[in-house]
Amino acid sequence: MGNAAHAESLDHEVYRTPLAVQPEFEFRPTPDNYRETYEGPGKLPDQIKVWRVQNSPKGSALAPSLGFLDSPDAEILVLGFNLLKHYGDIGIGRQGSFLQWGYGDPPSQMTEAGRRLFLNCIHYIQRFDGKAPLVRERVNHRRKALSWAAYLAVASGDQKDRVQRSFPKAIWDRYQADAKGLLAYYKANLELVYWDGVYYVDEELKSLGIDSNRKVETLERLFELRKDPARRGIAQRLLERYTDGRTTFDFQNGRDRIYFTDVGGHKFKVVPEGYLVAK
Amino acid sequence: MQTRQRQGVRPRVAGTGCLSILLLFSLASANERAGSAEANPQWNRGLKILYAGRPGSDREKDFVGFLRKYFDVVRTGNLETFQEADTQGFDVTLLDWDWNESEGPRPKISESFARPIITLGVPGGMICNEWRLKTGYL
Repeated sequence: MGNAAHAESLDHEVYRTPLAVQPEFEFRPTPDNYRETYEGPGKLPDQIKVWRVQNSPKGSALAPSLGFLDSPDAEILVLGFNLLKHYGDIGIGRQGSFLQWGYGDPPSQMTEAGRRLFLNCIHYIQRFDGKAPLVRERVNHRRKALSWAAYLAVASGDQKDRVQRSFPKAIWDRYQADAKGLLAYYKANLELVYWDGVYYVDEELKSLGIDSNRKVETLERLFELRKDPARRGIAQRLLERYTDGRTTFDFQNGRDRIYFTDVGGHKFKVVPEGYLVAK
Repeated sequence: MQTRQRQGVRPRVAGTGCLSILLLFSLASANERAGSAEANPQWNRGLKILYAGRPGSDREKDFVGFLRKYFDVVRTGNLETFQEADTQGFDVTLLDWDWNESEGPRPKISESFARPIITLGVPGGMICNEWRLKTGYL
């Protein structure tokens, strides 16, 4: 990550309280790496608005944006300007009671706006005392399947072996000489991808006419199908795949606390009551 | 701190010339730059801060010197020996090591540990990786 932050997310309270953070904005050429991975909406401009957090142009750490927000214990405070990773990757982020300040310089090398934001972050994170993270990173986000599929087009030798190890044998046998086909297959079925040693498309779920494995409606439907003797077996198997063994979910009164996390293991989980109060 | 500076300037400015006016602007500006935390009713000097980094390093001095301007209680610890229990009695703990160092100490914690922690820079990102947090280094 570079020494700057993007101008998005400035409406978060860490920019206002207790101290007013007043970034000095500047425009920098949009990095080429952003264009390679940006999926819209629209096109990126030639110049991009940022503000400098610190002096050193390197020595900082980005967190990946892929899957970052798939559990309600995490939030993005700053998008980090960078010349190697993706637009949207995270310079400062929080999960539970842990806040990662990705910028590497000590206060004497921060800008005034950087120092103020740093002090505000200290004030902010103390409010999350007792809020352990809800999920730990266990597997990659489903979109990684697309990255591996795209990589097949340029991979050779050992690299190709690594691509092969990401996909089920039947899929590899079908697409190993057809990189475009492999990518198209996973793109078309992205809502049904899950990880179990390799990236599977959930054909069982698809056979039930269900179009996504991460909608709360899907979970509710699987519980309904379990009452149907003809489909009880498959519904039970899918429930075991997508839950941690939890046997009840409150679809009436606790629906807004049910979430699906890719990186937490491709599972439906429930936010503990009262957990989000401090946010 | 900043409040004392402000109080000290006022009587000397009255009835003096351009130099004093310039001094007034200069000090007021310095006050503003310092963050005007003292004048902010939401500011909590009483937060107790633990900075656990590399003891005796310039980086530790930089962080601690800065933090002591804003918080009454700032203590130091050693990241190499950091344990969950070290956070007892502190409101926020900062975990740090050398600038841009990816091979620094990575303390072990339990998954139930939930004290407020700020991890810093590259070593902080590596600690987050160790703890399997989403904030881990990409």
